Amino acid sequence: MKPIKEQDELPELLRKMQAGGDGFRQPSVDYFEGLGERIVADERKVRTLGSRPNRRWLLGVAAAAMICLMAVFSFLRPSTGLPATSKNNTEVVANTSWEDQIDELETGEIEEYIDANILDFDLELLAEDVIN
Amino acid sequence: MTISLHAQHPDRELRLALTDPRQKERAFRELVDTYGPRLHAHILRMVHLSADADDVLQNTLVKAYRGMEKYRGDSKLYTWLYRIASNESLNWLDKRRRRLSVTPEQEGNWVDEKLRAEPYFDGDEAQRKLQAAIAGLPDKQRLVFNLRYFDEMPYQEMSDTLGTSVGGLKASYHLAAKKISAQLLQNE
Repeated sequence: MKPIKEQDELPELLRKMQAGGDGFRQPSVDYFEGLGERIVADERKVRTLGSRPNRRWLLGVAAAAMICLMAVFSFLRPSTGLPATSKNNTEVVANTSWEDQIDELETGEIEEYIDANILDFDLELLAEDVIN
Repeated sequence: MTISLHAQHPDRELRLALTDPRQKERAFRELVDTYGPRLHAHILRMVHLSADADDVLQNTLVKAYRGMEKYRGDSKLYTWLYRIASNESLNWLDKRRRRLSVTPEQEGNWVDEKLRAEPYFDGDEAQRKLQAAIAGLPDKQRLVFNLRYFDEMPYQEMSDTLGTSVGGLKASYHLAAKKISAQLLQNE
């Protein structure tokens, strides 16, 4: 602190007491070193948490993408009106297995799958699907 | 760039380092080492209890860390830090009074009692009475009195820190000194 230049008119009692200081003692140097370290570490954690993708937002995007995909496939799937014979069942399954499998899934199952694997979804691909 | 407190413009170099993402953490630790003790003393004189001072100092430093980009260097680094510390202390005092249902008038006696068991208070009875009298002042007067009487901060720097005119600060200090003196004489 700069040396005091201005002179104040202090009551005599306060002038006498001023040299005695405030009566408090300072924490050790370790206290301040530890404090600096702790704040830096805490702020690092806050930054890491802040940079994690928002789980709810991801879930929303993934769900929207899945619904779009299902809508597109159900619209484009050729409707023959004929029941599949047991002979060509294997062939049909081989050709359209994932489309049929998606159709057979319950909404709850889809949501459960998305919820469990949300962090594995590629955001860019999902976003593209939503746009397309 | 490396920073050194012994450099010609340590404040400026420290500020530059604090705004550089690669050096920010190291520079911040240096800032705490350099200004931490002074800030702690200032805060402790405001809130009087070391447990509260620990929290207020931490809040102050976190705000400084997060707001470093906003500090433009138009005031001294410690003036800026004092401003944050002062605001944090005043907010803390306000919340504490509400939490404990203690009026500003009762606060002097409350502090007098608490200081008897305060581990960071080594003062004698006269110093305890002085702190109790200071605690009985309105917050702004307490702040001005502490900055002037103990830190011996020049009025112009106080004005920069608190955003109050020099004339207003002088009047506030004079009034605070008179009240404290009267309180101490009454206790004798």
